[in-house]
Amino acid sequence: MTTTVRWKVFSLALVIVAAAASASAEPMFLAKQYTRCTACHYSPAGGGLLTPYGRLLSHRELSTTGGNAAAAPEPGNEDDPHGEQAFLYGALGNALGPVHLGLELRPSHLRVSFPGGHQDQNLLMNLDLIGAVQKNGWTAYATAGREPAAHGEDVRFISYEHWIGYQRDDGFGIRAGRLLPAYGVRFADHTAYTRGYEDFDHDDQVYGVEVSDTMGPSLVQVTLGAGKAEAILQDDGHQAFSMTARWQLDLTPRTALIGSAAYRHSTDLDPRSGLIGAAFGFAPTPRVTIWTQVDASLQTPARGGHSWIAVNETSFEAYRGLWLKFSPQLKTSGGVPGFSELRRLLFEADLLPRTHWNVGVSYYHDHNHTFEVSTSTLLAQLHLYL
Amino acid sequence: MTYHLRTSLRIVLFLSLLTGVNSAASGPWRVGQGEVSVKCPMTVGGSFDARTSALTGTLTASAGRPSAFEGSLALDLRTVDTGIDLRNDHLREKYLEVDKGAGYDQAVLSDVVLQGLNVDAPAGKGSFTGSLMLHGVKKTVTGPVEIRQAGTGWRVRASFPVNLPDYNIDKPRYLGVGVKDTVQVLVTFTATQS
Repeated sequence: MTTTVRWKVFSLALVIVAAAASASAEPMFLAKQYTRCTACHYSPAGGGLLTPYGRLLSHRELSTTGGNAAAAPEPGNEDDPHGEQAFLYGALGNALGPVHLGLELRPSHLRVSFPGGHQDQNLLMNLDLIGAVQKNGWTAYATAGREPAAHGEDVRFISYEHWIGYQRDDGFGIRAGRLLPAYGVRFADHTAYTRGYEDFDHDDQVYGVEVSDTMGPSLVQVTLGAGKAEAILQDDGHQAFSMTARWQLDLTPRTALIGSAAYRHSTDLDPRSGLIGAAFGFAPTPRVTIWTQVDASLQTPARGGHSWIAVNETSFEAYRGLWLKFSPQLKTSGGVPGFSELRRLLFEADLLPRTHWNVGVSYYHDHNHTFEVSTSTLLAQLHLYL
Repeated sequence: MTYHLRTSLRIVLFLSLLTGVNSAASGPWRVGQGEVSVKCPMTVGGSFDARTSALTGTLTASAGRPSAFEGSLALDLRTVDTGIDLRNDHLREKYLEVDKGAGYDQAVLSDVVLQGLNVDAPAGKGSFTGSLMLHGVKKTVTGPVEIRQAGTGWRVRASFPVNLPDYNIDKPRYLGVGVKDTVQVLVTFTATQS
């Protein structure tokens, strides 16, 4: 294989890695005193469909040109969002009743540069319809969309998440279905090393049960999974019992400490593996959030040995709705031949003009320290949230 | 004669100093820089702080009751800031009803009594009780207090829980997100004695 061909293969792989992003969770909003995802998202793990409160907050308080003009639902009329806080700008009126919908599209342009060349691609990262119904503590949630083509396969239908959950007023919660296990910080970028290299990527949901409990400033989440959903559906030999546990302690409304652990049983094709890690987030001002997560990846040599994975994400709101991010990331090789030490620097600008559309530009500089090879990736996204 | 004169002068000087110390210790405590932070736990988990520095007032050691203070501390509720405009509007107008009239735009703490601390030499940790007038309702509050010497004055840090239904404040709820019934108030201020 020539060097050129090798790098084309590598770039294609990177394109595939970057070719699907689930709806973003935004840990940067810790600066706004939001330590928990559930204030704005239906999913306790963050991301996906915004609740009426989340849409309202996005419009009124987080968007550059949002403001007091928003026609917010009256208290008690959560099922009657309209205008910018409603699906398709309220075009369907009250026809949906208690069902809340969101349509997410993410047309993007990707340029991967590597020694000797570059590759450009326009792609539609996301096209997902997301629905939720929430009544008396019960939540039913599902997504339906298409997964971009990968490995030469056709575009196919996928439901990244579908689950039913119940949340008691005293803090106890349970949900079951297809869901992303609770672990660490769910960074918006699914290629962050703590997501991409730890099997918490965009399609790494499990079929399982999650039990959670809020006790004062603490949140404990335990997820038991029969296996990765895609492994079960495709019966590809990778199906195995998995378990994650996550404990979050809100030290202040702008400071949080998270401890996590994960265990995955061996499969026909994979040895057993585990993770243990800690994350710390704090917001020294209402415009700055700093998250750092460090994990020990307890793998067998066949999967890269024991290695360290660390991600820092520092976010700064330069202007209302304009967030600048800097994220250094590291994955050690574990000292196993064939596995590389990887380093990344990510620079990102997220412009949030209105609830229904955001613009993101990301620049990744990835360096394989073992082979002394660098690549850079420029990703521009228009995020439509209708 | 000289001996008696010296002795008399010493006694006068001693009494003068003693009187001066007592008057300094029992003089009114005027609030200088202060901040009140109310930690509001949310029904969906997490919490947020509502803050203001608009704390004023004077406390004077009560002549008749040791460890008790006369006077009051007042907080301007119109200045409480949660960091989110919409939340500020709801907090001030819908729940605290600051425009409703007298007794609604301020929170007033009075009838303060220290426990485990000496009013004349108050540095240390102890507890306090007081009467909190909020939303037109007066209730007793109690909590820990810590007082430290800060230059020529004192730095006071006290906290106490407030149960919102006790003050006829509606349960804060909006679009499925709300504040739990009990919030924690942290008061920090420097006080100078005159």
